[in-house]
Amino acid sequence: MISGNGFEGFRRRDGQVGIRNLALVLPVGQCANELALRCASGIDSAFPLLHTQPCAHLGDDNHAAMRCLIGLGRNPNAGAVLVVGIGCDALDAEHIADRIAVTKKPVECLTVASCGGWDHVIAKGRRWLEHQSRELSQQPRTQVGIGHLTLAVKCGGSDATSALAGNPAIGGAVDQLIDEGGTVIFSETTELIGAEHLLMARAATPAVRHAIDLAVKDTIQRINAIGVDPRGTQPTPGNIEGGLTTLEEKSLGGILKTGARPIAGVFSWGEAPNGPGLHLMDCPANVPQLLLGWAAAGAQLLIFSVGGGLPASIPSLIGTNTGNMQLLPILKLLSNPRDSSARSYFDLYAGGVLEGNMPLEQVSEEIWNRALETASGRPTYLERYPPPGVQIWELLVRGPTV
Amino acid sequence: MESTDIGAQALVMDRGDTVATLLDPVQPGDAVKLLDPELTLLKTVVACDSINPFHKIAVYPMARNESVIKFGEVIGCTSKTIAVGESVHVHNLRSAKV
Repeated sequence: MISGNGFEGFRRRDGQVGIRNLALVLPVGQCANELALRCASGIDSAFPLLHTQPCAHLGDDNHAAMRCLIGLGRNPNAGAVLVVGIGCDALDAEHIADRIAVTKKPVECLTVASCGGWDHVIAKGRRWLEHQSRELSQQPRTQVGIGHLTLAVKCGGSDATSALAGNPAIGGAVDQLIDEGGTVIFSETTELIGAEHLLMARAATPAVRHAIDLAVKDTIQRINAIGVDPRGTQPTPGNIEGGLTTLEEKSLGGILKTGARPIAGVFSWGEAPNGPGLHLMDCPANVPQLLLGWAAAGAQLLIFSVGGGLPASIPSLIGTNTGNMQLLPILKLLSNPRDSSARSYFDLYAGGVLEGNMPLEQVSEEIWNRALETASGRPTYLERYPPPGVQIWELLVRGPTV
Repeated sequence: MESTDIGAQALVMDRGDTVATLLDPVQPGDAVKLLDPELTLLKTVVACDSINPFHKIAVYPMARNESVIKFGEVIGCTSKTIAVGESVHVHNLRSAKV
């Protein structure tokens, strides 16, 4: 495999490196989503990240949302950030903007209250974004070391082929990234159930081992507390059609994408890893929440492993609706050779392992090479063919909503 | 991938596994070659169900409430007696965790 030559990214003043150069428009609550959309509309590289934060959450949910929004603003794929609010939002826009500004990237904060009206926010916001967009377009990429890459890994639409091809192939690339000083984040705590003992055995410290144990036990407890059989949700109907019978079987195949290196840390949704290495973000297996969480944790790139069957027939991303997460480019990988008609929807194909014409190591190498090319600017399938609408991303809520 | 003269194949991920993952579709009476991940032939079993590719076939007889092993790990618990060659899926295997 190629090693030691890194990628070409956008250096930020705080030392982080972006693989994309977006002007992020971040509303602080759902009342400000329209403002973000109107500010960003038609401006090159402006990405309005709409989300579900209401005024109906309490305590920890608001704290997690606050951390998440700050983390999204700090994500190195954003070269400039416009924070917009109404002024009566549950989360304080000025505070969020100030905390993002510690990265020294250009940050502006506009609210209806501070600007003296809705239309003034849009006019000022558009002027600021047009200026930032011009600045961003002139910034060159520079060569940086691979240690600047933070990768998220996920599987969805899994079937029995995911564990035989795509997931272990991703695991090989993950091991290499860890060995070269990078950071990898996996999540979906629900889909660790039945495989937690294997992950605990890989914990770098007793504290990490305990944290993995706690995260999984908490998830089991929350499922059992409502007294329903999770089958049909975990595994999903698509998983079952694809030959996966139990959550344990799905989990044991799913963790193969985490490779074999020690697990350096566990962190909560909305937080960020405390250093390089392999980390678990504790979050349910819900795509919009996961993507927000990973982007907030500073991940620049996601590799999404799909098994096959009907989930593979979706050209956009499983579990999202109409929009693309531009802050976190996604490489989609297909495993099942029986779904060749869907192959054009994917960046990467691992089915050759099952067709007997491609060793697993070769797929790992292709994933690695494509990840570095994508980090250097090669557009992903979803960047070339984005879904036609705008997604409203979901924050993780433990409740109660009041 | 269809059943041919060379017969259907199934992967045994770990030597202690009680199920194998079919690489081909099988019908009752088909011989199934069980291969380890290095594609070494371990033994042959006869399918007694019609089973989709990548679904599981029993390679050892299992009593009710017995652990089912794949990847060398427990993937759940049998809800019925299972004979060698039977399909192992939601009708006879359940989670032991949730």
